[in-house]
Amino acid sequence: MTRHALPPELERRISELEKPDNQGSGFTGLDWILLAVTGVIGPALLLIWGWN
Amino acid sequence: MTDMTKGAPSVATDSADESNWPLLKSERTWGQLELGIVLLVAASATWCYIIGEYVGYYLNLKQGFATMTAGSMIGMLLVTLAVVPAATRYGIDSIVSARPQLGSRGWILTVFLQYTSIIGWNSLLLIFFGKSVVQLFVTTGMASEASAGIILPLATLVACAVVYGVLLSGKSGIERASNILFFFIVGVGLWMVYLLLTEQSAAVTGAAPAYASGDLQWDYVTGIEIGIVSLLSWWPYIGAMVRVAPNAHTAAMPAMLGMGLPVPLLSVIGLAAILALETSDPSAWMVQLGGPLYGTIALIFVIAANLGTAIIGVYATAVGLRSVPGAARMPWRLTLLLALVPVAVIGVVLPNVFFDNFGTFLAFIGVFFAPLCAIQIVDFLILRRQRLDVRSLYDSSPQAPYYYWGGFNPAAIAGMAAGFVTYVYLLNPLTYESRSPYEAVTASLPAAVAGGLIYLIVTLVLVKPAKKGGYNQ
Repeated sequence: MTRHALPPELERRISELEKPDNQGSGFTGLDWILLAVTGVIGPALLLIWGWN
Repeated sequence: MTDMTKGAPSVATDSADESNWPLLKSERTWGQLELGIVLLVAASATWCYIIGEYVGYYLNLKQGFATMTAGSMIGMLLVTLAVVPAATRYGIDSIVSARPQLGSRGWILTVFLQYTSIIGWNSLLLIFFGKSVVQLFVTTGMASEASAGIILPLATLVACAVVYGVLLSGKSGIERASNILFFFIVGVGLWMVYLLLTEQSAAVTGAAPAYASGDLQWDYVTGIEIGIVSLLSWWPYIGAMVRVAPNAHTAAMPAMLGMGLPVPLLSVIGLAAILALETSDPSAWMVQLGGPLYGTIALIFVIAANLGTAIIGVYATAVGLRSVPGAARMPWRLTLLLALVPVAVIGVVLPNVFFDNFGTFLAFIGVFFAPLCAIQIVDFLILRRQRLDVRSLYDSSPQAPYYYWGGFNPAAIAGMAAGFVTYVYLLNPLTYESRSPYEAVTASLPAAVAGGLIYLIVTLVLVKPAKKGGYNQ
């Protein structure tokens, strides 16, 4: 497969990032709880409080 | 504070810092505190007062606070889920993170959206900066009202020059500026809320919103809508910042609490002020409320807060512009000028346009960014299971997986169109006239759902069976 040649420095970066060990990990279980509390549950409770 | 350039060759690091190239693990060293401070400074600016003012047109203090905060956190959740996982996994900014969805040519839409939205916000900020400087000069007796016509454009140009000077040193300039501004912005902001709520508590709690529609449910949902679209504005900003964090965990709390929460909290200033004093601009009411001393402090706060956010906004725009063929090879100083000159021109020539059209500007953001966020969430978190072909992010050849058909992904085009039509059907961005069921569901949330759903369907029915998009790798 023919692909465009990339600048050497970008090529070096991509090669490093193609290794899973060099990639950042995703959200943890605790993060998902934080996101649910601050982005869904909290807003829902606030809206109920504000309406009453 | 950690120096992100440690341990890496300076030329290579500077190049990545000022480009859209991915940052390596060794360069992504910001912790939760550093990131939280930068995001907080990015979020805390004069637009908070205008957001609060708009909500205060329809709702009282309690309802305005509830809807604005809830809407803001919902909007922040959408932006966080859309950008943070990909940006922190590969060290990429918002623009690059959207290439797998929009295609190796279609991503140009995101550059346009980023350029337009941040230029709009920065124009607003720097015009406010100029007005605050005028007020400061008048309040301290250094100039008369008559000289405003000269001071305003000059102050705007000086602000542009300061932003340019700070950003010549790349991201390290942002970090230094953020550290200086952090305590000032937070401290004075809280003090202003306290002052307003204690000295004007009766007026604030007893005030009726000036433009309430008569339908409380409509007003309530409009408060939520304003909160959501205001925080969708962070899409262009957030990627350039969170990509310096080593993983999504480090960025989750700073994003939600550092970038999401300060906006509604600071917007309370504008909300309470418009209800009690009929003006949201602290540079006007602080002098009225506390005399020249309080007024001067408020003006310095507004000036500092706006400058901090403008620096981050121009940086994000410049990084985004590096994605455009041709701009990638430009010297950093020229890319910065490309991001800054339109702001300076608008700030000097058309200073009132953005102030007078703020509501339309907000709706413009919701129309485009709500479906875009949903498309990214569906694609990265569900369809791709949080994995990208990082090489293809920078490869626009026809053989690359993200080339799709001619560089465009029909699923993304259909999703964006569905979101756009849904939003405009529910809420007219120009007149704010609405259609049912807007009063129950807002406009931006259905636009996001429609955009994400259509993207999912077209991908499963058309794109994946055609073995496009790298889904089958």
